Amino acid sequence: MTLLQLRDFQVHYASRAGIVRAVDGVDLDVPAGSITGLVGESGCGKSTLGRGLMGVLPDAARIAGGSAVFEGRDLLGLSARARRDVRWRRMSFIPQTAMNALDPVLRLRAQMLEVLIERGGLGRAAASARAEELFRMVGLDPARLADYPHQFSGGMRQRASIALALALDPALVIADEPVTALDVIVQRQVLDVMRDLQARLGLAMILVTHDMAVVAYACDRVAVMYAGRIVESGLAADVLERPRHPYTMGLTHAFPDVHGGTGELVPIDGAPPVLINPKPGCRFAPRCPFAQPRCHTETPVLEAGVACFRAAEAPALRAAAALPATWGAG
Amino acid sequence: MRRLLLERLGHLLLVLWVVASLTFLMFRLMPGDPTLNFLSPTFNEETRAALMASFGLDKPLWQQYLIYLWQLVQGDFGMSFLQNQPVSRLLWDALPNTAVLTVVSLVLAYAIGIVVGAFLAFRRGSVLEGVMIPTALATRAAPEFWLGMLLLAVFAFQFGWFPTGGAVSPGGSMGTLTERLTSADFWWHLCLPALTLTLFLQGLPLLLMRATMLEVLNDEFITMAKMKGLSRWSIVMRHAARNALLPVVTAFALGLGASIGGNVVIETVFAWPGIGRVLVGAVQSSDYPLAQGAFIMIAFVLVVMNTVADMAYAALDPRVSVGRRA
Repeated sequence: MTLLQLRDFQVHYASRAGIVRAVDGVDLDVPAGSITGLVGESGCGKSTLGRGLMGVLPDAARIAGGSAVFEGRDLLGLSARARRDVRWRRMSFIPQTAMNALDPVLRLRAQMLEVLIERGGLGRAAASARAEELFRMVGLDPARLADYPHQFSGGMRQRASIALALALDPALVIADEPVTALDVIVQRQVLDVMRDLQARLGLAMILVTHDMAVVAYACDRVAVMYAGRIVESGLAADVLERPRHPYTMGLTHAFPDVHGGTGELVPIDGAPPVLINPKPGCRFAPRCPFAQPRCHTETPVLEAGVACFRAAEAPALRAAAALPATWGAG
Repeated sequence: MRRLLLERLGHLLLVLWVVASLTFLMFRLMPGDPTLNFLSPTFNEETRAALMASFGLDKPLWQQYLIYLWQLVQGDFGMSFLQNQPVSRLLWDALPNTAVLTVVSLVLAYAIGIVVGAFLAFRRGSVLEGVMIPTALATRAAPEFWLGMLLLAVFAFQFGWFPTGGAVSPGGSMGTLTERLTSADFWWHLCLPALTLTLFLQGLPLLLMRATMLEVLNDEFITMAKMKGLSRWSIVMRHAARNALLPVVTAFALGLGASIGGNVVIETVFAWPGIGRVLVGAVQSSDYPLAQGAFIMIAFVLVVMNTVADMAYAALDPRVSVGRRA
């Protein structure tokens, strides 16, 4: 069952130089009860997409078009009041930087109770019991509810953020780079907590990350984003094992340990295009070793999980992509 | 918290001792003989020596210093040269007037500044901001005496709504502190000086509140509060204002300390019988014991309020007391 269905979803930023199309026509299906990884390099629009779904964007940004059908209703058509009702009750958020995401002058208990009482409608005693239960669920000692955020380690703060996100039993949790600021061992612990709770509670989760290893470790499905668009999506195992888009192929070689192999890391040369008045054609074409004349003039659409004119030749391209020389490395 | 308190009290005593010692030395190292202002040249040598002895000025300096410190600890500031009354009594009479003027103005200024500052942070870039910020800056930048005289000229002399100076109407007596605080006459006299001081003080909290509020509103935890679907009231009051208030609270306590001694100008313009005016009078008439007492009193209040500011910050911001919990 599809919990969230995005069609042609667009978020634009107003800037001095013009309109920045940070999210430019995203199609994405998020099934209930699974973790969907949203992966791409910095600036590809993946965080903006997550925040746009929550409906909380910086002043300069606005949702410019498309639809986002969540639990049968288009979020973009809702009144401000109905939109606010969805927030946190049905769809919650785990932020990138747990340090600033928690209010520094309030104890964790106050921050938990605030959500449980104001948004959850619980009484004080019930909310208190629920806060303790949530802390236990994420592997924190309920006694630490009396502490302030600065008394927590990075991993503990992230666990507290997860507890907060789960407070009102949402159907969908959007996690924006939830483990990026943590060291590898703590990353794994936090990912285990998230995966375990997701399975236990039957949640759907969108895990925004730039790290293919995180996708490989934690996600059921994956959508690869490049320059404001989804270029490839599907089951994580399929996409990681047999990428069909050259960008995904590049990504899998640019990160260690996805296949458990010992191959050298090969970067993708160049940088993503500026998203002010983007040129027609495939946005990856200027960096793509397999680009053809057509790629620079026509825009490929996402079909059968991939947006590439040469998708049919994927096995041959994969073989070529495995050679560092293909990416101009040396 | 208790260790912090003891530590701060230790600092406080040390600073007060240094201030008292410097004041003692300053008055004795000043050129000229203070007694010349006090003693008539027609006095003969014997009378002069007797008077000097009555003030203890015939003793060696170190003995004077010890006596001075010992009496200070007991709250004895000596006798005024001119008014023939204990300095402590003169100061004690003036202090409540200054305190009332300061506290009333400061509370008003900070209440207005905090509310308007927070409001302007929300209306960033509006026409209202374009009008309010220059207005706040202009009243803040205008010299106190000029602002005071302007208000006097308009509201006291032109319209006659308020008295032109002093703390009681002619013929009235000052009475005790409670009598003063419960008399409408006293509050009526307070209006113009308090208004002047409020206008002068409001700029700092207003601009400070606006600046910190703008900063806090960009913090991730405010974004998170919005994502949680919390009400605007919760976001602004519980999260934004609480965090933005921290520096303002510190400024308030410091302002309280500074104003007690810094009201000299306003107290002079409005003939308000406070510490500042006592100090000016004492300096003009070379009443050394009184000036010395006023200095120490002002320093004392300033240092105490600094400590209060420190403690308030620690009480409000849990991060300040970090490291003692572990």
